Amino acid sequence: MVAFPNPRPESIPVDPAPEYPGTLPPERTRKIPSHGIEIHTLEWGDPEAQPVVLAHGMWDHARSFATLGPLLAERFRVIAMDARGHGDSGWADSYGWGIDIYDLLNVVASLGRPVHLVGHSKGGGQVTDAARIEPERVRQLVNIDGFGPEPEPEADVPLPERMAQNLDSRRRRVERQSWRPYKSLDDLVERRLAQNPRLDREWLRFFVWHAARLEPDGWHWKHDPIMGRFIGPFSPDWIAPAWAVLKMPVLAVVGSEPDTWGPLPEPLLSERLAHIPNLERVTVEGAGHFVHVEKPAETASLLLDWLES
Amino acid sequence: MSAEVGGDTVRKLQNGRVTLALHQRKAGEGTPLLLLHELYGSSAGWATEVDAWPGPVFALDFCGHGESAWMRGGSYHIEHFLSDADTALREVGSAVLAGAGLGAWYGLMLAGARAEQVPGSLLLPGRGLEGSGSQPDPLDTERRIPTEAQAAAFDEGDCDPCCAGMEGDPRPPDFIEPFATAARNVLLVDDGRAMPHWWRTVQDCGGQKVGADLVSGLARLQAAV
Repeated sequence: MVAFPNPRPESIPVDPAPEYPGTLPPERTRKIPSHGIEIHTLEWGDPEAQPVVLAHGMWDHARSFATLGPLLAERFRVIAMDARGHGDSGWADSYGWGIDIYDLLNVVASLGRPVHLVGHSKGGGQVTDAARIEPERVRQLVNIDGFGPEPEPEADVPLPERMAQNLDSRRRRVERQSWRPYKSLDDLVERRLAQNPRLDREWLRFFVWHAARLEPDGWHWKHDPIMGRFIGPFSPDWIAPAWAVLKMPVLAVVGSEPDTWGPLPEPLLSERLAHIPNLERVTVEGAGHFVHVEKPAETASLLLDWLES
Repeated sequence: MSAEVGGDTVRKLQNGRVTLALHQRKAGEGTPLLLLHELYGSSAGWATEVDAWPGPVFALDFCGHGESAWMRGGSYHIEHFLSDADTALREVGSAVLAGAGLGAWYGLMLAGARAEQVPGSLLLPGRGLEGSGSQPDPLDTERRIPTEAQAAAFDEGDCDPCCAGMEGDPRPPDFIEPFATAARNVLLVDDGRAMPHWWRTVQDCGGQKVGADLVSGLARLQAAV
């Protein structure tokens, strides 16, 4: 397999990292090759313990588990991965759902034994697909509010016209070299807070420090600027029926509070979850979409209770 | 950037981070013909009959195929094949399309999305025509992406083994229908084998069947445009 250079720009080192109560720096980091891209992982806990792999959502990174991971490390080897194009993993020429699953399975394979998979949001959907595709590698599965998008309302613009617009906007997207610079980290915090108003500023200061890098013209998001959405033949109705093949125990976790990116309306969520044969469902009171960030102790307690050693 | 290789002029086009090869097989007057090859194929696989087209003839190598670059990281899907074809069309300006297999599926999508620039298209059988059927393959795209050991044993010509993921690419008839409706002068080459399921939708939207003889198919296309 060809090894490729990483096209990510170099950054100016900035120390020290902000602190946030309950976070611990990783005990180990690794880079796992996956089709020419290096997947960066953070680890906490005994390397001989049962592995738990954590997969984050879109525009997040492995440090979004910096409070949950150390708590789970009480009993597990915890591996939090940066998806390609995110955090400190490599950049590719293109991105897609399928290759993310492949990366996940490569991380799992590198551990040499079956694992527990835990994913949040997009990562929740992806660990579910990974478990569906290689069930022999997955002992138990936890999906935190990653049960797919709602069906989109019928569009006013005909599909060919939308595709032409999509091709034009994609051209602009893939030609950009970087996100626009922000003057300060606080500007990034405010940007993210506008999207996720339930998260507190102190957490976001910790989170964005690891999500951004300093260049001579200011702070830039670390994630690859060419990532974006492209329309194609896809129906949200295809998602849940595929979960019928899951044989391992599955824990579905959502927060009780409505939030920007979830949870799904209850009837739709129940309908989708009904396809999973071996399901337990938990609602964490007082949490929104970022259940593990808003309620790390409760989430850890739930998982330590549910996951087998 | 262009270079003359064996009588064939090659233009290097940039589609994001990927460099594509667009071959000009011949010059000529009138509407250009843009050729889009099948899955695991390349611009070099076209029969010489395509040069019967009176105008200039261009043949694209899709990403991961022929002389175009392989995707760093191995991710291939609709976004790349369709935007590759769009990049070539943008270079040529306006063209009739001839697409085989996977090139027929993306050619028709482009013909619908860029109907003003594409006065007609000829869809031919070839690899990648059926995809995984109307819905995603139960085996899934990602299951088809080869491991490193499988990639080393890959035996589909010079293309990137990761292109095998495209065998799980679905061809839902209800998705292609608005493209087939918007596209102008669509001809379907019937070589006597079973027609792919989504071609029935194309026929319902006005697509016309033609015989397997490429020269007469191109003549029909020329007459139509």
